[in-house]
Amino acid sequence: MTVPTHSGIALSAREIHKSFGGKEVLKGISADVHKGEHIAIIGPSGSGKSTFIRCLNLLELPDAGTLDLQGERVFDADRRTSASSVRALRRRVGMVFQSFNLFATHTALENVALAQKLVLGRDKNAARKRAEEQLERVGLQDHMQKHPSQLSGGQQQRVAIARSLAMDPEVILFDEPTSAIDPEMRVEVLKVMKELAEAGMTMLMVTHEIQFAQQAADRVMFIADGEALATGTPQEMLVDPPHERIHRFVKAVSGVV
Amino acid sequence: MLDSSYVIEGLMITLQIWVGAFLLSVILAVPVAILRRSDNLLLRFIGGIWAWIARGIPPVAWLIIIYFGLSLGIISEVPVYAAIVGLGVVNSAYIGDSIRAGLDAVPTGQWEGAASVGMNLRDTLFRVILPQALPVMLASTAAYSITLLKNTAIASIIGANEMVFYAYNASQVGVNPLVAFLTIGIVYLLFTIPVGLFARWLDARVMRSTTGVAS
Ligand SMILES: Nc1ncnc2c1ncn2[C@@H]1O[C@H](COP(=O)(O)OP(=O)(O)O)[C@@H](O)[C@H]1O
Ligand SMILES: [Mg+2]
Repeated sequence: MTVPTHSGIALSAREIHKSFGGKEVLKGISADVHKGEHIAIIGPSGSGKSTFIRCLNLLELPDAGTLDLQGERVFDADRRTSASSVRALRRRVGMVFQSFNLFATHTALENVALAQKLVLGRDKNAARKRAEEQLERVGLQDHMQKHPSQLSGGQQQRVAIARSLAMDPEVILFDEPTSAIDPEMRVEVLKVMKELAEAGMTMLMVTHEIQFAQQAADRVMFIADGEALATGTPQEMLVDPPHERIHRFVKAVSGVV
Repeated sequence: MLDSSYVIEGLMITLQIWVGAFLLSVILAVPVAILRRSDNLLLRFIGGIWAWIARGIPPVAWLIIIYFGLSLGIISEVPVYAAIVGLGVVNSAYIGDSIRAGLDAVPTGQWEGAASVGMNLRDTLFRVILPQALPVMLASTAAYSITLLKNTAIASIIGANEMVFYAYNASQVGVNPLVAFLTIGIVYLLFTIPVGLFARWLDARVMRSTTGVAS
């Protein structure tokens, strides 16, 4: 995939720090995600990838650092953060979790329509229409009335992607979206993600799928011990890694896949 | 024979205490559960102390303390009100546990899923969390309300004229005590059995849904 000509920065994170109970998990990570860009984040487990990506939509509140969306300051750890400004940011930054987190008592259609009505104030018919479109887009037109417990992991994750898309986010964050899914079902989720990338969606994805990162990412970021050790093109990072540490990691992960 | 009109009059008072104490305990239990789930250590401590005191003193002692001890004007003058307040306080600790257990039964991923699409606390609670937590809360709440109904019997000690009060009086004036108390025992069962079945049905439903089988 070619590096797009970037029209601007969609999301900018500066010097994000986060500690849990005195243990510093993020030691000042920065990232700029350009509009239409797809960044893959890789790194050993426990290195802080999830914490970093959760800081970007304030599921974790950073102890220090700032967040900008389209050049607009939306979070500053030095200032008081109101609940409404947190919600305003989350409206603009989508999130797809490893464990899907679909609303258990709602059908696939309701999962995708609910926040459109409650958060964006769309009327019932508009929300439903948009939900149907997004579910079709991820290939679930035949499963709209099913509850999450009646869907496979791959199907649930695609509902979760549709739920996020229906909010028209400026960026979507993915935290190991295929790790909790049976291998044979992963491909359908990766296919949807590739289509999103090709359609120009701005994406930041934590993933262990090296082959997928190679195909879909414009840049790859390696996080180790709460720091961004290196960032580069997939070619630089995955084929000919700049550090021995990254080289070993890529080899180990590719071996499993 | 125990006069049936007395049984019915006593039953009305029993039901008044039961329903009154139940409603009061739910109203008290909501803040107790919120305190006990708080991130703040002090608030959690206060909630814990409430539950500890409410549960640690026998219900009969609660009623006597409230009726005789605290001359709280209106409350101390009417035994039925004292019984409602006393049993309401005791039951609030248990209902608080029910609410807490119900909320704990909902995975944090459900909160995060709602947060990730920008939902506010109220919508998250009413549209996502409570639909899952409520069956869990109701199952244990129904079970506790059986205990509450049986505990209304002790209100006779402070002179509330509920069923036990009438049965005792009847046995004092010549009715066979066995007959008098068997009669009201059956009346209690008429209420505890359906509520118990309801609790079991809810429990089974909750078990089914948490083990992933679609209902
Ligand atoms: N809520 C939390 N409370 C305490 N420690 C946490 C919490 N979340 C993550 N951690 C810790 O932070 C470190 C980084 O975790 P995480 O961001 O999940 O790593 P990764 O996603 O790279 O596997 C781990 O040591 C983890 O135990
Ligand atoms: Mg992780």
